[in-house]
Amino acid sequence: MLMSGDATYESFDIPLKLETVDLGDLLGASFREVVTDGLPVVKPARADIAGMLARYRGDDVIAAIPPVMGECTYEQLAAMAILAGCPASVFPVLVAALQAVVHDRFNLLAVQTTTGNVAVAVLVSGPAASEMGFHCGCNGLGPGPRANVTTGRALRLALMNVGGAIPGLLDVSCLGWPGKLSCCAVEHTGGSPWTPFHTDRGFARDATIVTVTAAYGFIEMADAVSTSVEPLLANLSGMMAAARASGSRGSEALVLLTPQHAHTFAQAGLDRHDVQVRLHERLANLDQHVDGASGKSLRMVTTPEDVLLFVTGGNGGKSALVPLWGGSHSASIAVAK
Amino acid sequence: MAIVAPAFERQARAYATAVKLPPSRVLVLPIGKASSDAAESIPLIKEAVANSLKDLEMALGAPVSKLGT
Repeated sequence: MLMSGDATYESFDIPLKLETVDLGDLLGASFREVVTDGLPVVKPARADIAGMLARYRGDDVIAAIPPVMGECTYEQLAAMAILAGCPASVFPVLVAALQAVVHDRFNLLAVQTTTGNVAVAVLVSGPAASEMGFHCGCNGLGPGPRANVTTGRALRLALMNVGGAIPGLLDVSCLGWPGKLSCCAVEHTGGSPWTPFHTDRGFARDATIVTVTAAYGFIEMADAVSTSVEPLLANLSGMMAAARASGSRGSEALVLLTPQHAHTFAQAGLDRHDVQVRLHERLANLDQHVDGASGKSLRMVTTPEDVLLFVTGGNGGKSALVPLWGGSHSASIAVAK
Repeated sequence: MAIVAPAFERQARAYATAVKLPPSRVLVLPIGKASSDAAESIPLIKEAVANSLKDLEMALGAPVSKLGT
């Protein structure tokens, strides 16, 4: 018997049958049954793991992953990377992504165990991204670009198998969504009229960073005709206000801007911070959602900097709002050189 | 392994003692502090863990409480 508010009800859930693969001969008894994400996996050989670990000591612990606080070693993460189909070149980004999700700001415990439908969206920014094989153009979120798709996927496999967020057990997401399989975007620095995302986050220009966000959806903003900024600002802020009403509050919002839309803003003299301020101002007028319990007005974002503007994607006027879950804040980590 | 929220820690540790589980097999999740929707997720996690325990007992052919006795 479960409770929802004042009502009680029988459980309606159906047990989730998961596919597993046995890595016990490689990683020991605790990895006797590695749970997959439902897609076929590449079973690693010892030589594959060694190749992935060329720069690392396999037994060193990268991070303890909640909820079970499993200590993820480089060797275990390499195994997850191979299962996911990662090329070896992306492994440093995967390591940084794991370091980022365990940052206090990100609140991974809650992300992993919420009934919300929250994915980890990985944003890669910096000059090494293209050298590693990451793709910042059309279909960057997939399907297609192996580095992007497999990096997001490998992180999910680590969160499940080392962190214990097994779907239907400790991951009780009501619906899930395809972003939980993989969600990785790469900044289109060549197509952006602005300073790089990572320098705005306080990192050196020659750094490459990973930023993780707790994403619970993807809403396209289709506007292929506007040549002035006001319609774009109106559309984006309107979508943010609507998404706010669906549950995001007091956190951040991620806007994936295509180069076309970023250039529309830039040609009007607006840099990234100007757009953040303008969106924040509009939201102050639109965002009137009131919490039923407290009676307080709730905001999707509280400062202009809470609107993350990330330039990515191919040609065209189809940007997107990615609502970010209110219990978490983005975290950035530099990729080790 | 018993996985519990802080509010249930005392009962879980008493249960673990009764069935001779080592203390390290009781994992306390600080979900109640961390998550805004813990009131919804914790009962679901408890149910899922209980069901998992039932599966284990079916596979073993005996109640977990009988293990090690």
